[in-house]
This record gives sequence, structure tokens and C-alpha cells, in this order.
Amino acid sequence: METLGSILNGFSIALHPVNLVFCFVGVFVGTLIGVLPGIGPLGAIALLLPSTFYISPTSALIMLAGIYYGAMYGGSTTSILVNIPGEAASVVTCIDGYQMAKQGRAGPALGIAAFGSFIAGTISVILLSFLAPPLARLALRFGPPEYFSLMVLGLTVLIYLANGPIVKALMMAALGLVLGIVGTDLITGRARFTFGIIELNDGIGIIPVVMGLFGVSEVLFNVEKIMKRQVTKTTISGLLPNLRDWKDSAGPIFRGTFLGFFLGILPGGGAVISSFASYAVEKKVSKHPEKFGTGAIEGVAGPESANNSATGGSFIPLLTLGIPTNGVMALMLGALVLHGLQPGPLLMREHPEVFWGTVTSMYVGNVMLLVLNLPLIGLWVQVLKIPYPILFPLILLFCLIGVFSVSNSVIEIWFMILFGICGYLMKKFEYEMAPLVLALILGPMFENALRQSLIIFDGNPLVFLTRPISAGFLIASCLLLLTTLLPWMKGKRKLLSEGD
Amino acid sequence: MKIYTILKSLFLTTTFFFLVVNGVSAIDFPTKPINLVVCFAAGGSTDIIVRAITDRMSEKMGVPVVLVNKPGSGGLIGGEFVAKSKPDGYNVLVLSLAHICRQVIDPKMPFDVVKDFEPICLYVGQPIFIIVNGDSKFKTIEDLIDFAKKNPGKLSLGSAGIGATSHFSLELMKAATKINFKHVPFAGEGPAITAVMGGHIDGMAAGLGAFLGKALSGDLKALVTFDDQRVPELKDVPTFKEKGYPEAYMYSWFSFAAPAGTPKEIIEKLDNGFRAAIKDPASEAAIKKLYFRELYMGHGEFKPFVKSELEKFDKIAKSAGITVK
Repeated sequence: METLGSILNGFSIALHPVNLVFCFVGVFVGTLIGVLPGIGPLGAIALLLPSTFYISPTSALIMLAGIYYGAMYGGSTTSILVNIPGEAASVVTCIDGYQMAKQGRAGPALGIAAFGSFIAGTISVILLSFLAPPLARLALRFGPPEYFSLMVLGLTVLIYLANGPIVKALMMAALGLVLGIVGTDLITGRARFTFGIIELNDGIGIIPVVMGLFGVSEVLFNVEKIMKRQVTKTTISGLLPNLRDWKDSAGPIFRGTFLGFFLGILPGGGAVISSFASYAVEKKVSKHPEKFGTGAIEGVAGPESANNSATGGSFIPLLTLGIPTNGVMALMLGALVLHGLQPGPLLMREHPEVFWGTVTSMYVGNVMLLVLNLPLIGLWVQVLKIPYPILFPLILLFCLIGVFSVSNSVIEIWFMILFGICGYLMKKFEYEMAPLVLALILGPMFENALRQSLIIFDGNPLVFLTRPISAGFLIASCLLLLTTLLPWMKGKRKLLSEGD
Repeated sequence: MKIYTILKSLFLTTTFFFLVVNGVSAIDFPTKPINLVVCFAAGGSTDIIVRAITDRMSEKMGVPVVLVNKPGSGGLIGGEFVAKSKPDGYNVLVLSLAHICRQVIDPKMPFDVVKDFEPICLYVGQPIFIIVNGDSKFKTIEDLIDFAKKNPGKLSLGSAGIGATSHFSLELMKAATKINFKHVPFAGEGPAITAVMGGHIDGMAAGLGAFLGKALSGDLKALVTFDDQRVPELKDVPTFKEKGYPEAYMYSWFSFAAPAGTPKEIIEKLDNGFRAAIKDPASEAAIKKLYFRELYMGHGEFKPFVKSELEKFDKIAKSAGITVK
């Protein structure tokens, strides 16, 4: 009950007019950033960080947090409308969201993304309020062996991302793993496949790859087709999700929320993985998995909820232990340090107003975002009416700006173009991009975790099975693999029995 | 004829005047904003300690001093950018021990810290510690060293990556105490600290700012510092010097450097301006708040210091066999 008292106290801080203004500025800027492809919350927060020097730490955190989860809301917009992910976590939304837009259902897609994000965001903040410290301790139990096994599970989940033949998806995943090798090896410090290009020392950046594979390639692909856009015929069938959509999305939203929240707590890429994982889960539990890839609303509701609740989860290690879970949290940590606060377990005790003020402002921020985004859906849908000769150069321009603003490097722009051409070829020959992206992200993490574990445990591979959490993930991966084999085995059995 | 001669001499005089004026641009320096290049991402410790004084630097230099983040490759991208820029004083690098550490392990670096830069002044330093989990069985550094001596190769100590200053700290300790342990590289200080807090590795080397909050809460414990004097925030933590290992001495430092070939007058102006900014009471307070130590060293003293650091760490790298070739 002491928590309730703290929450009420937090609200009194969050609802203070000054903080309300900061919250609004944060979520507004965040939404804009999220909508603009390529430019992510990391860049925006980095830009605004120095100016927070002059305001109180709580207000600073409220604003910066607003930017972060605002960006998650906005990120789905371009994914759905023009198949360009606003940031890596929105990649999965492109798959079904864009299909829905092509069928004239952009409005419901955007709507369910907004509502799903709101519900997920709110639930994750509630969970955060009550469960922060014990969850943080749980996150600490994840060491290199647990990360390895989690990555194994993540890579296994790849199978479910494939909407076409598995072989093709596996090929793309293998390519993603190979591309993930490029860069400086963590364990030996040697450069691998960098060909002397120092921009490659940190690996092939995920932003140029995603911008290229999804954005540039989509433009190239469409330019090839001669499309006549009949302005009157743009069948925008309703701007909001109908009852059917809600029924279909309820499950994905709740599953996505919990999945995203728990993955977000883990240091190291929770939000991105959570959207992929949610997509895979929804496909697995769906009664009509073949609908995925053609505009299934579950494929939008689940991942969007997951990536929003992951943002809530990712605050936990930062606010309770002083450990940042990703680049954005590292910036928040910087903001705290800039204000002379020492992030760590004592922060909650010595500066409860910072913790509770920020957490309660997230409730407020989520409401603001819903109110902001819903009316805008009508506006966004109009974007689809822009004639392609104008829309496509604009898209290309935004992709270029996005990539350059993050890296300040022309080489990254070349990579984006290269991947754009690859993506175009992949589309032509019907190879899927999502497995490649996931493998590119997970591959290096998988390798590093494996080798770190082997160093710590003197090369003993049994450690992955003797540690409970790690064993759990590995068993889950095996079960997942087996269940995909079941239909095949059943088929074989039938064949055998018929053959007698 | 006469008019032609007058015009010709007028033309020659003005041309000469403009040529001379351009050549003496050092007198007007600075006339436009100065870029301060930080080789790490915004919000990181390097970024924050520099941001703490950019306002005062702008004040003292009379022009905006703008912090530009050029992260990547552990400092190579930012370093190369400044090394190759015009030596006119408008691009200044935040040169740190990390650059030196990188140079001694990577013969293919796109620049040389001594040859391609003209150091301006030293700014701050931060002490480095060996830290362990708060519940660790090692209560003192002797416990750790004893255990390592009795069980060579059993201890697992983490760092922020191959060639990072924390990696060099571990090697320095290894050379001084002659113990053997497993080095576990992580992708940065953050993940390594998380691993120590979770008890997945036995300990690591880390800078004060990165772990102080967790040490004060008891989640982490500092066993010893590489500095030559005890640190006020952790006055119970001994130094390696006290424990009989005076060779295990280093600290993480940050400084300012301009590209080689920058005229002496410009370097002096930068040095004077930066010194005024650093010594300003507001700066001193901010530096203290961030758990750094102000260590201003002017251009004259600092230039040989850079060379000596390079030699010192080159020796460590060679004897420990750290290389990325």
C-alpha cells in the first residue's frame, strides 16, 4: 500500500503544469521522430539532452521518456503507410500493416496500432509501478549463458516469421548471420570483413540495412510497375478498427504486452526482439496462420503492443539498478548523471520523486499520445493519396536524411542504396526480409554470448543446460522446432499407414 | 600612362594587403564557432564531462564552442576526422587515453596520436578501480590476489572490450601482481558492470563514475584503485601503491588536441581560453559533481606527457601481447 502512496505522490508531480508541458513536448517530438523514417529516438534525445541541463532532473526524464515511447507510437505510421519502418522495432509492422494499407485498410491498421500501443503502454507502466525492483533482480540473473539460450530461442522463432517457403527464409537468415560477422570481433578485437573501411569496424549498421531493404527497395519495386492511382477509388474503408478487428486484436494485444514487457527488461535489444517474437507468437497461436503476410490485423496489433510495452520494461533496470538496457536508456542515464544523480539502487530510495514522477508521467504520456494520434489518422491516410511521382522521391529523401542524420557518413548511404537494390531483387524473387533483419541483429549477440560463456566456464558446453533459465530457453527452442515437425511427421505416418 | 601606373600599384597593394591579412589570420582567431569533436556517443561519460564546460568555453573563447559527436570504432572515426581537418584551430579533438590504448594495439590506425596532433591541454582524469560483486567472497584485494595465485586461470575479470582502458588496467594489474586470470571482454562498460552485479563474472576494472552509485548501495564493492591516492568518495578503498604494487598506476584522462601543423599562436589562444574555462569555479564544481578530477596541464607540459603515456602503454601492450593485427 506504500506503493499506492508513492504513486499518488508521483501523480502530483507528473500533473504539475510544468511537467505536463514537458511531457507533451516529449511525446509530440517523439511522435514526429517516430514517423520520420531513419531518425530514431536516440538521435532526438541526444540532441535535446544538453538543453535539459537547465531543468530539474524529473522534468528532464519526463520529457526524454516521452520522446522514447512517443517514437514507438509514431514508428508504426510509416511502416503501415509506405512500408518503411520508423525504426528497427517497427520492421515487423511493415509486413502486415502495409498489406492492410494496400487493401484500403490503413485507417484500421493505424487505429489498432495506436490503441494497442496505448493499452500496452498503460499496462506496462502499471506493471512497472508494482513490480520494478523484483523484476530488476530477475533481469540480473541473465548472464552470458542465458543470453545465448535466449538468442537460440530467438533464432528458432525465425521460422515463424516466414510467410513463404521455409528454405528461402532460412537462406535469408543465413545471409543475415553472415552479414552480422562483419565488424570488430568482440573477443579478439580483430576486424572481420571490414576491408579496411573504418565505418565497418562497428559492423553493418542496422539502420541503413532496414532503410534500404524496406524503404528504398519498395520505391524501386513500385517504380517498376506502372500504377494508375485513381484518386476517387482509394477505398479507405473506415478510419477506425471495426468490431471484428477488435475481436481479432484483443488476444494479440494482451500477449504482445506481456511478451514485450518481459523482453524489454533484459539489457540488450529487448524492444526490437519483442516485436519479432510477438509476430511469431501470434502466427503460432492463430487459427489462420496463412493470413499472415496478407494483411492480418493480428500481425500489427501484437508487435505494436509488444514494442510499446518493451519501452516501459526497459526503464526498470535503469531506474532500479542504474543499468541501461539499450542506447536510449544509456542517454537517460547520462541525463541523470548530468544532474548529479547517481543512478543505482539508491536512486529509488533517495530520490523517489524522480522515479515516481517519471513512472506516473508515463501514464499521462500514453493518454496524450492516444489523443494526439487518433485524429491524425485521417490526416496520415491522405498521404496515401499523394501521387507516386511525388511520394516516392519524398520517401527516398527521408530515407537519405534518416541514415545520414544518424551516422554523418556517406558510406552508410551507399550501404543503404546497396541494400535497397538487394531488397528489390529479393522482392522480385520473393525472398523475405524479416528473417534477414532478425538474424543480422541476433547473430552477433548469439556469438558473443556463446564465446563469453565458454571463456567464463572454461569451455564447458554443459553450462547452458545446468543453469535453469538457460536450460528453459533451450528446451523451449527444441519444443518449438519439434512442433513445426509434427505436421510433417503426421503426414509421414499417414503415408506409412496407407502404404501397408 | 600615369593613371595606369597608379591603378597597377593600387591593385598590387590591395592584393598584397589581402594576401598578408589572410596569412595573419591567427591574430583574429577565433572568428567562427569551434567544433569540439567527442569520439563517443552522446550521454556517455566522455560526452558528459565535456558538455559540463562547453558553455564556459564558449564564454572564454568569445565564439560558440559546439560539441559534435562522432562515435564509432572506439574513437577512430572522430580522431581521423580531426587529424585530417585543416589546422586552423576550428576543429578540436577530445583526445583521451582510449586513443593511446587503441594506437598501441593497432598498427593500421588511420592516424598517429603524436604525429598527427598538436596537444592543447589536459583536462580531467578519472580514477580506475577493481570492483567485485557486493556479496563477493573477496573482501579485500589481497583475497583476490591470493585466490588468483592459488588458482591460476580460475578468476574471470571483465572489461569494456579489447583495447579499452579497462582492459589495459587489468593487464597492468596482471603485470604488477603476477597473477593469472581469464579476461572476459564485453561490449562496453555497461554490460560488464551488469555481469558483475549479476555475479556472472568475478570482477572488472571500471572508472569511478560508472559504478559509484552501485558501490554506495552495496551492490558492488571497490577493492582497490589504480590511482596514487585514495579517493574522497571511497576513502576506505586502498591504492595499489599502498598494497606494494606502485607500478599499477594509471588513470583515465581526457584532453584537447588540434591537428598537427596548427600555428603556435592559435594553440596558445586555445590553451589560454580552455584553461580559463576549466579553472572557472562553476566548471570545477561541475567536474567534482561528475566524480572526475581536474588535472589541467598546459601545452608545454602536456605534449611530452602524451608521448610518455604512449610509451608506457606500448610497453604494456607488447608484454601482454594485446594486438588487433
